[in-house]
Amino acid sequence: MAPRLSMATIDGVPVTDTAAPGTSGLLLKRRLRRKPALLAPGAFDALSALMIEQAGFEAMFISGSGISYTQLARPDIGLISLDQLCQVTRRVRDRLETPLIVDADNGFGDAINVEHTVRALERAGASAVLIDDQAFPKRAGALTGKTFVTPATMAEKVRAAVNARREANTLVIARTDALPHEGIEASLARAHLYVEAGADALFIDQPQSLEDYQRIAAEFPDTPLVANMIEGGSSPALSASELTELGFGLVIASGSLVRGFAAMAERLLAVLKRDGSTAALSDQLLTFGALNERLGLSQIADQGRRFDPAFRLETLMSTHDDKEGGQ
Amino acid sequence: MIAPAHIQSLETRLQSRVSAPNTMISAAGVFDHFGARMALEAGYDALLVGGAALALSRYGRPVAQLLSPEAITEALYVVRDAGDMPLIADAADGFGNALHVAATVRAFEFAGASVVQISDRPLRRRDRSEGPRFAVAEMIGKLKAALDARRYCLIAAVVEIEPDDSRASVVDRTAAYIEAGADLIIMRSEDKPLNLSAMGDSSFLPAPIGFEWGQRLKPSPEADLLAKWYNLSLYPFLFPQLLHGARDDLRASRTMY
Repeated sequence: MAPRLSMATIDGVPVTDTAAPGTSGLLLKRRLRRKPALLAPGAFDALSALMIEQAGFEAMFISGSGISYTQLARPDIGLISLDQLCQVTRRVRDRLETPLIVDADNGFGDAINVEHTVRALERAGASAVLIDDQAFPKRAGALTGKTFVTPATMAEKVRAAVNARREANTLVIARTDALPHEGIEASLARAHLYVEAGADALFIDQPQSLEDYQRIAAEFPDTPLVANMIEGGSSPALSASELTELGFGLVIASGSLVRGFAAMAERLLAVLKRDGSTAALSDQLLTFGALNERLGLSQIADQGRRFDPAFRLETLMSTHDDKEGGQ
Repeated sequence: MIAPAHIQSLETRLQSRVSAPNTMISAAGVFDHFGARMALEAGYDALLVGGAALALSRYGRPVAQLLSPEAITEALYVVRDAGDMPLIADAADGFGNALHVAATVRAFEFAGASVVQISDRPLRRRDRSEGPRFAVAEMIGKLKAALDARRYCLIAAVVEIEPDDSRASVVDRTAAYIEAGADLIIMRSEDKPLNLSAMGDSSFLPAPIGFEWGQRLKPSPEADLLAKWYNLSLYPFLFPQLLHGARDDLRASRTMY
């Protein structure tokens, strides 16, 4: 509905046509070779994605967990289907240009499913597709009780993903979730197989110590490495700059935004229930007008006027971040 | 920016037709990947998604008003996965004002459409006083919005033909849409294709012209006419008609077990 209002940049260069096949993947690939590490917050719908873009991030992660939390209000235990993931990815891609790293869980099945998954997500606008080595049904990496496919099976899935992509620049990121279960040595062995199978980047999730991070970086000096930052997770809490120093190229903050939204929702709802109004929080809320500005209302109005001079679309309320007119 | 091959090849074929007869492109209406593959294997040059036929497939009634743009987009993704063929997407009247037309064109193109067709028949009339078709100026506004929103897909204007339309009125509308920049004209009628040679001044022919067969029509040999004057033949109700014709087989299959 809204015009594409691109604010995305990579290395300071505006991204003007990431919808053109392969463009956003190419940009992402180049960016991963440079420091500092690319920091990609997790989005779960078009609004969260827009806020990430408007905040100036160069890439974002479309998080399976985030979609499970927000669409189903359920933990990430593998309830999201490929169709749901594609739908979110398309809506985000229709709205903005920032490169999208899409969490495809375990690829939704074996190598055959992975082929379909990669093609569908590419068409939906993914710049990179992340596939993990959990067995079906899968769950969040930070939960216990996960089961895994064999290293050889996962390598086959990575190979299938690499061969299935239509654009050579679409990145395939292989993730192993086995570290807390099988230990660092077995995980590194898995990772070597995945890189040999053609993975463009490697994500060994849930390092248990700083030494684990160092081992991973030392073992794969030539492969872009991915790390996730989960507040309150079992991995040591490292910042993007610390991870850059260690040699990581892509840092995902997969759940920060959704946890922030949920915390704000609890506060706001408690105040609304207590006071019968949100007045006590009004300095912390966007007004109706301010939110609509962020959503591109005036650009849409301009676009409408180009085809119909009589076209009108304004908010009846102030567009400033003031205390009036909050809705 | 380079257009995808399925658009380039279609454009070349449509353009060459203007001077070279008998290179008719046949487009089969499909609803899913399997049907798309069958149609391609059967030799159809192009595929068509959307409109009343898709509504019939999805919801049991040939009523295009039942379809959201999102439902058509979903079908386009599924069909595009079947190959790199030219794919025509029926965007009805564009689903609203110029902004909605723009959003629809962008979504359909991104889902793999080579052509997005926009009809001059309102999907929902605002009130009873409104005629069966948009005023030419309003339709031109929609076409301009569509042309502005597309990156490389072709924009087709669908000229809806009622039985009592005069030839002159059809010519006038067609010429106006071409003038506004439509890459392609699609005539839609429940009757047989208009004899374009009888339309007098053929100065509106510089744009390729397609004909869409109505729900109750089957492409027929009288389509000599078609092959001579039209570049594209669209057959949206191909699969419903085939299935309807297979009712006896279906009935027989039930008693086999």
